[in-house]
Amino acid sequence: MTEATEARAALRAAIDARLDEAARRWLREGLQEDAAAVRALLAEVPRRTGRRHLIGAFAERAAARLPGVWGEVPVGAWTLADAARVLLLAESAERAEAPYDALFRVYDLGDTETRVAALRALNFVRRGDPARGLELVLDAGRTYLTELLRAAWCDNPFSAVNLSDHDHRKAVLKAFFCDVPVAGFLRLEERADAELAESLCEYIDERLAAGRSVPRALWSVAALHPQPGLVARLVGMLEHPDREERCVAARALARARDARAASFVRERLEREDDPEVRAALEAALEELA
Amino acid sequence: MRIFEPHIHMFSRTTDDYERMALAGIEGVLEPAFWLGQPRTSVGSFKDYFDTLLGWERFRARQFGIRHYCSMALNPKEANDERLNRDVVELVREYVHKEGVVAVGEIGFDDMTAREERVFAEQIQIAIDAELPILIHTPHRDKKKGTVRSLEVVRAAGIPEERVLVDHNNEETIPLVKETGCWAGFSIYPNTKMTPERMVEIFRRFGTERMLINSAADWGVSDPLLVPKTVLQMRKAGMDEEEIEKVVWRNPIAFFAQSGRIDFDDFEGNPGIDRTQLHEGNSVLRGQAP
Repeated sequence: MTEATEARAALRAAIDARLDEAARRWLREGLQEDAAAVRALLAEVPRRTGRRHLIGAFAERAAARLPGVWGEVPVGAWTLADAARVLLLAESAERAEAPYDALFRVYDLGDTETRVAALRALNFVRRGDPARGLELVLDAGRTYLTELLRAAWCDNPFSAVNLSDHDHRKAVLKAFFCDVPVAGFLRLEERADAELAESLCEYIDERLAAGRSVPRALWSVAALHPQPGLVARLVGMLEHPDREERCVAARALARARDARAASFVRERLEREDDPEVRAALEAALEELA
Repeated sequence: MRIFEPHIHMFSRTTDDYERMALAGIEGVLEPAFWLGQPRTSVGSFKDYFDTLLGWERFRARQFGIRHYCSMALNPKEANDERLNRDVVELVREYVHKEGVVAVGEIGFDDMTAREERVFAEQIQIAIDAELPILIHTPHRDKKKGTVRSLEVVRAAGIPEERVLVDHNNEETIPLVKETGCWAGFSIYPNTKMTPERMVEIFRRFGTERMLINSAADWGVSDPLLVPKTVLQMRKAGMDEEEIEKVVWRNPIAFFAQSGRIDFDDFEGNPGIDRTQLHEGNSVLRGQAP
């Protein structure tokens, strides 16, 4: 388990490595300030640090992780300004009696960028009563601001670990409604359950009854706990004229692991020309064998 | 065609909208209290919002010949905020006794949490005590389960079903509501919710008894003319004028008339538009000559 001091040190090292001397000095001084002074510093962060990515090499971003108190934090999408805000907030909150409460205060007074940083900073302060930290996550989850929803639910080990089953299900469902990428939910495979799958299948019904499309990412989450009828729908999708839809169906069938689908997958594979779809079908057959 | 728009958030709309609505035949609106897109953090914001609905918004509507009524509530989403939910419910208890308040709503579920259910039940009780109908918002997500659970809460509270309007229905929920004595509302929306074409198909399957339609227009991508536009679609499908009028005029007014604070007589006679009128020193003309 990573200690909060260790997590902040790693974050600071990653930031410092990308800053020039003047910006490094500015950040070092900022880290000594109390909460009120830090709040006043936040608006100048992008001017001081610049807006470059925290991880320079494009190819390294997808896998980039930093140690956090509740698990590894994916940081590939963060800019230097994002990272510096998180570090400033975490450092000053750590000195408070109850760091989560301190983060809630700055969240409550903050603009959207500050709120995003406070949500991420939950992973860089010492552990407290998770219910206090969840106040930020749940408040953000009630908005429709995509930036806040992403910061609350995606790439955030604190919420992946601490959201209740009920709140977690509702978050995944709302993510589909608000175009928040569900792939960003950490530990989704482990946390998804039959009740979530049932809600997702009802959502599929609602979309189709209204003559609307179904978000592609939905199928593979629903397939983790297949409800009656889901596998039949996926088998039907294997004949979809859009190759993307066929890929999605094959991957979801691999997850659903219903052996009855095997003959349909095999039959489609015989007629399938697209190499990517073929690969997905072959992988599915291995799972279904 | 005379139209009463039974669910619209004029707070978020412009005077151009009022003008177009009046031209399209809308003579009255019901504005339910709801959330404003950005969560509020104190009870004072709610008080000012409620006062706006009762004061400035009603005044603005009158400048375009439209009668404005409203319903009071703490909406389901903000019911989750423990910093303010208890105080706002107390405020609602006070505000349901104001002139022009013809229902309690929008109440119901957003994420189906325990807090939402508590606030929902408390506000049904406020409606029972004040002898007002209620307007139930069914959730966007998990809509079918949310509708089932809402109907259970209604039954447990013991409010007569004919005083309950379940809103934002779709193909999946309408069979559930039709089994009860509740009224059913449909929100016609450009991208989400219902389309005029789907709505006509629902009238064909389920009839027009205790059914009404609204635009639910607000600060989002929405269209305050979707009720008149659906009227066109209903005509195109061959529905009788009388039945169309029932859906867009008689049903909504009859439902809210159960409050004893709105009646068909309210709409008789010339509305007498005079935009030089002042509301607390302000007019909609903002210094321009009409």
